[in-house]
Amino acid sequence: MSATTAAPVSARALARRRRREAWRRGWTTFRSHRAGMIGLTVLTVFVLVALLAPLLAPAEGLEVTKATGGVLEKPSGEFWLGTDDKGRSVLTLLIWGSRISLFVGLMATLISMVIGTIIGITSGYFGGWTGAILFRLTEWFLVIPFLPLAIVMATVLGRSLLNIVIVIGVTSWPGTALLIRSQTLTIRERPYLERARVLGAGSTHQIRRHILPNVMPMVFANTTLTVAIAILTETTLSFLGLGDPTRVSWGTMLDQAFGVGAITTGAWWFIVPPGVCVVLVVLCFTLVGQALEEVLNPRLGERR
Amino acid sequence: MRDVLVRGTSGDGRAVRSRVRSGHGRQRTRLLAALALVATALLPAAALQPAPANAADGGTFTVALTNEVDSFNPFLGIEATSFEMWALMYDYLIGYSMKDMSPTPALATEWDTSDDGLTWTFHMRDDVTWSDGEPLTANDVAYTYNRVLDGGPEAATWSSYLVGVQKIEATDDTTVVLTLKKPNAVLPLLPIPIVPEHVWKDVSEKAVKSYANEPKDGTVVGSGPFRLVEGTAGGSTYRFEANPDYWKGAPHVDEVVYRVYKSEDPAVQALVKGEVDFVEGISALQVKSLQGKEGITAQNGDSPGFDEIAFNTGSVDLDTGKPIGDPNPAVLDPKFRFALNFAIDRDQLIRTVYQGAGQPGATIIPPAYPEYQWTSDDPDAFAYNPEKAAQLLDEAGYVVGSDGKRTMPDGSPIGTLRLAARSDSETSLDVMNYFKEWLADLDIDSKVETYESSKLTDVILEGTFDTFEWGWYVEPDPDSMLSYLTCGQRGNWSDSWYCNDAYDELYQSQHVEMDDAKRADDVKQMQALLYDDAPYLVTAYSSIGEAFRSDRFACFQPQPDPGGIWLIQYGSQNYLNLRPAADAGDCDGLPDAVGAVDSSGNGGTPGTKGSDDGGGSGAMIGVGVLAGLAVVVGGIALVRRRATADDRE
Repeated sequence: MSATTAAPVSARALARRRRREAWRRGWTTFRSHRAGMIGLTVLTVFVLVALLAPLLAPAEGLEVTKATGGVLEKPSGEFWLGTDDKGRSVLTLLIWGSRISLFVGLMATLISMVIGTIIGITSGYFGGWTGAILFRLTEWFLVIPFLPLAIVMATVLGRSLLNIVIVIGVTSWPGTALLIRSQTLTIRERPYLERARVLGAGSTHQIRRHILPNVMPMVFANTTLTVAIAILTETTLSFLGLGDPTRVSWGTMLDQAFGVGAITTGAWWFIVPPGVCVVLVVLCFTLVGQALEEVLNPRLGERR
Repeated sequence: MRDVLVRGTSGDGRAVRSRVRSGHGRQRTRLLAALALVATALLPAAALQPAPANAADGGTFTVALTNEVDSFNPFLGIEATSFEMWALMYDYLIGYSMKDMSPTPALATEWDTSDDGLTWTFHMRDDVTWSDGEPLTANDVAYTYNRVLDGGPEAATWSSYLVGVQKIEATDDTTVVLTLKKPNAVLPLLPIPIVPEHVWKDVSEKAVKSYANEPKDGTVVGSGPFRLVEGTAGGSTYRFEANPDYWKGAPHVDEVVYRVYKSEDPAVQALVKGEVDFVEGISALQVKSLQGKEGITAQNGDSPGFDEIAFNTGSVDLDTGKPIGDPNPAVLDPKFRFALNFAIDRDQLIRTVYQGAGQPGATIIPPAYPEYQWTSDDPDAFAYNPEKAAQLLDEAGYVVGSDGKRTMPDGSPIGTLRLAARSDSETSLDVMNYFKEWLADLDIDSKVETYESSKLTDVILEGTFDTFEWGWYVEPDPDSMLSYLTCGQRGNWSDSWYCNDAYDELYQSQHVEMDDAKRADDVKQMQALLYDDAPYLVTAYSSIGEAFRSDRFACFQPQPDPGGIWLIQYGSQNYLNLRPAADAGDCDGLPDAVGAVDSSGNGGTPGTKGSDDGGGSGAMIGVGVLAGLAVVVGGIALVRRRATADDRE
């Protein structure tokens, strides 16, 4: 039986079904990318660890006054990754640090994506003055050296978790905006949008119904890549002593380790684990992002 | 004393604070280091080449500093490193002894005072010359002191030593007479660098504020054991040449070079590699790792200072007497503060935060000055005892309310105490994190807030704080330290807004008391008052980590002796003591000098390479991690480039 003779299917249900099929197709393509799958698996592990942190390592392990270990003890049966300079287990810090690092990375990316998408679409869709000014603004943000800007902002705003999220979010959107803008420019010229305009569709309708759905995959693929950069930035800023000093993240761990001279004292177990975790997570986000790009943009795959 | 200090603005308070803390503890200067790295990356590669390691030549003694000199002008600088430079460049009428930092003859060979303590006569040596050949006479001394006495920028740092002094005269070439209005127990301590009148008379009071006193403006005329030949304030290298005609005898090295590093770890690595001969201000863990290395001697030297948790005991507008700021009402109550004294586990702080270096804190006079230090009759006066703390709080009315949190005696909630830590000191942050947990054990909510040191000074003056963590460096004479807690210092140098009339009376009485034993009694009573009122909870007596290449240099005498520090002391004595390890001999019979051949074998073995164990592999791991990060970042950048390129249609 074919769909045409079946009981009338509402347009909404049809759309939903089409979307579901698209997702399934995408997932099948994604699964064929081995690197992307590896990345996704490792990321899932990290996210699970972050979510289950209170079960994996009791929060008391973060309290300095209750620490049981010695100062910078080597890894042992009791402390699998040794202890920090306060006698706390590095493993506990690492597990709890993943929460902050991932949280900051995701929240900052969210901000960056929202700003980038709005500015990208607006400047792409509306030409003229609005578009030009927004485009210049984007370019202006793009040429400002990123790290000094982030450092200055973090210093001015003060050191807290929210501020670091804002700093990263506000400084990392121009790339996304440019990407979205170029995509919007091409979509705007397509015949069906012209038709919609002739039929009397307003700007809001065009953007919401036609442009946004079309750039969304792009935004999505870009998100995973931005998360990687956001996590790296969080680590960098924390290492420079600009992170929230009252919370443990991988960056503040590196900061602490450097501060007590872990390099000189040879306490590798305090430096290497957070470093490796950062590298792993960033790498995985990049792998997933690449795979996603290929799924959403088949032309990339064709060229291979 | 008040007169003088009132003249100092709040800026001076901050200045002294930064001087007090500079060079101590672990500081976070990495941010600047990162920016500097960005800057150097833009320079041609040649600029990155390290200066040739001339440290192997016994003639040059290279010191790694982690703080820049802020001025070579002795009337302007405030950083501890600047004081060190002036000690090399100039002489003092009275010096500090190596043993216990008591006043000791320097330019003055002897001094006497009238029975009423109102006239001090100093007799000077006559064989001292300036580096341009002019003789150094009593006129130079009187000139320098009068400049300080006249007020202006010169008074900011030094006038506190001349409190009560009315007139300073040179009666002949070798005699200086000080006439006082009222006795001053701080004398004869006079650590003011003597500057040459024939040079400085051309520098007006107005011009002194911008007078750099550096070689680029012409030769710097000094009388000290070394002469500044290269370097500028805020720069990264300062070079001094030995003064072969120094009146105490020529130094045993030809040159002293200071190099400024942005943080301790690179400085320590430079020591291991042999690029520098001395590092100071390093952490206790770094000291521990260096102690095992061949050719290096390291220690945690006692430093006469303390760190404290201070409370806002009542910030007021000094003109109207009305409260200002927003202190939590709980910290205004001495009983509340006193109870918290027992909530602090000082031993644990020393073990972890201070990494085993330093001693548990007690009172504001450190153990380096036993004659003035108050000790309680109760052996548990400073012991960790949370039950006692809880009991004292209960007795004072701060009982646990229905929500499980302690309340004010009137039943209203205490709220959240703000614990201010200095963001540029990890020690400060750590101590406050511990304090927060101890307060939580007592059912008191608190949160740690961080401020830059300079910002914290403003917060303190505005009274918008509950508690903060900081420290003081205590001078050999306790007078200035004691004065910081008098009523008159509120809004100025006082950081706790403490005011107690009984304390002030004792302060005045000790200040004019010429009998040492009676004065010490007064000083101890003052500390007993502070113990009960608890404006400060002294957490620790800090120490300073130092290390040097004992395969190259020897004969460092600790100050105080024994147990003290080797460099950045009071005075320049160790720059005269130190000599190449090969000619150390018995260090001219200095009993506790490190590196004398016949002493306890600290001499090290010349020529052996430092074993490349922990440090080296640790550094390589660090480099590896950084390289990994760089690859990932690079990869992302490439991916992004490609992605954007593909999407342009």
